[in-house]
Amino acid sequence: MSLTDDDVRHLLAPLTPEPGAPGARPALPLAHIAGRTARLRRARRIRQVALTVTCLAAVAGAAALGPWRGAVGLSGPTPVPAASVTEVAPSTSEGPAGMPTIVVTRDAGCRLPLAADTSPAITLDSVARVVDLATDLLALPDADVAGLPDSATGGWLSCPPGVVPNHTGTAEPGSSPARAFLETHGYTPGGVGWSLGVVEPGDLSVPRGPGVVPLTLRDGPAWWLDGGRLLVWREADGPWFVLRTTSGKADAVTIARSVRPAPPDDPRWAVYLSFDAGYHGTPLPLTPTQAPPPDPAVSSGPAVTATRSAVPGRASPTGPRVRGSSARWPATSVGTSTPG
Amino acid sequence: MGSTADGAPDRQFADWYAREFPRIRSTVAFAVGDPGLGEEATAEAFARALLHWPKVSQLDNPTAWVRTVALNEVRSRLRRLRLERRYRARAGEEYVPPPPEPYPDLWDAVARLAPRAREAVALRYVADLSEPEIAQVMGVSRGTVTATLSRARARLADLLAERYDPGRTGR
Repeated sequence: MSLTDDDVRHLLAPLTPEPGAPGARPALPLAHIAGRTARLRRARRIRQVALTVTCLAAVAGAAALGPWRGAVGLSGPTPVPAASVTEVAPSTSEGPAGMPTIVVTRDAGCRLPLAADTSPAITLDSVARVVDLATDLLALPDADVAGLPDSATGGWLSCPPGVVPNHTGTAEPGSSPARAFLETHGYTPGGVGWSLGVVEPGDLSVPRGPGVVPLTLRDGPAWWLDGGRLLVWREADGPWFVLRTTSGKADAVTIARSVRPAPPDDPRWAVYLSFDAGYHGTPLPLTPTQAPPPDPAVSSGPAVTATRSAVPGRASPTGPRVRGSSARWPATSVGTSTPG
Repeated sequence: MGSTADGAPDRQFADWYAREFPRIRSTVAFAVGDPGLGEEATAEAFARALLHWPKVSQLDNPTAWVRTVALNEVRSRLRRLRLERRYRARAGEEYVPPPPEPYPDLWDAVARLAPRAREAVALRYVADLSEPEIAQVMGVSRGTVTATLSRARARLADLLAERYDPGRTGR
């Protein structure tokens, strides 16, 4: 024996009365739903905090175990407002083995390399500071970030809004966008040293939206600075991101921030690396022809302090370096540029 | 959208809620064979809909979204319930069932259907979805839906033989 559709509907009708029919339950009061929604919001915030703590613990725990070799995977929804840690995992094959990254996202995200391989002293506290910094940073309007004075931020390389450093090489023979910018802001070629390089698309992911820096630096620890600064620079427009590492500590990390939205089809990026306190990781090789000429007039600039100039792996405290094949220097670069 | 400045749901949500809640609740309650759990899951699904109303309201079929959320919520709660009952059993706590619903024999028959059959019957005869729509919701082929419904009707006929009166429908 079987039933027809109508049979089933008839048999089940008492269980599913139409609204308004006898026995039909009214909908729950809307206030009940609104109350549940408020609870969901609270729960979501709690989960975000919990995930953040879990993430930080994972980083700290992995760091305590030494170099990262296995995946410490962590993924989930954004755990903190504005900036969010969504992933802790070793970097790709492009990076150093076992080098973990924290991915901080606003919309698409950016990667924060952690020098766990060279910095076993990464602590929960230090990572928490990173998250705090990233949160604060990503919450700032672009112009505010660009205009942060060095003194106020303890070392953020600043570029006042609307100011485009001399990027045409016309200020003086041999100058370059990076050099002019760095000198304008008190960073000196020579002396402590600074490095310049160029990456192509693919080295630096093309940002996918305004204010978003899905940054993946192919050279990994080459960009890892301890107390240094990294500028990501689009040749035509001046500084694009400003990265900073915390000063003088092995638990430093790099934070990326877009200074302005990047075009979707940007053909070429230049990476300008400046450091004032040495660096960890792989040295940045620089061929002699790419080295900026010693310039006593500018090497005495005010903002650079050579506290760690004798870092292992660095051949000379005065020689800036560019690492690897992705660090090609354009024709108008330091030491080889022509007057505009 | 979704909430007014004081946090109350806006009119668009309120209208949609009043219109859709009863049928979704019936569908889910039937699918799980438990009116209380069905109502709970449905309320949770609508709460999530309110939470994400700016996005949900832009969907082609917000009702399908909330029904899917509710059915997923039911599955999730059933898993938790099983864990909870195991824990209670270990802890020596006695399970106290909820108060009986009207038509306990009907609910018992529904509860004795296989879970997938129950869900298919709920979607077909309570939510009034077509077989292709059910196939989409359940992630199976249309043929599977047809076969499942056929077996479910036969099973219901056995379970509800006393209630079943072929003469009523003119057969």
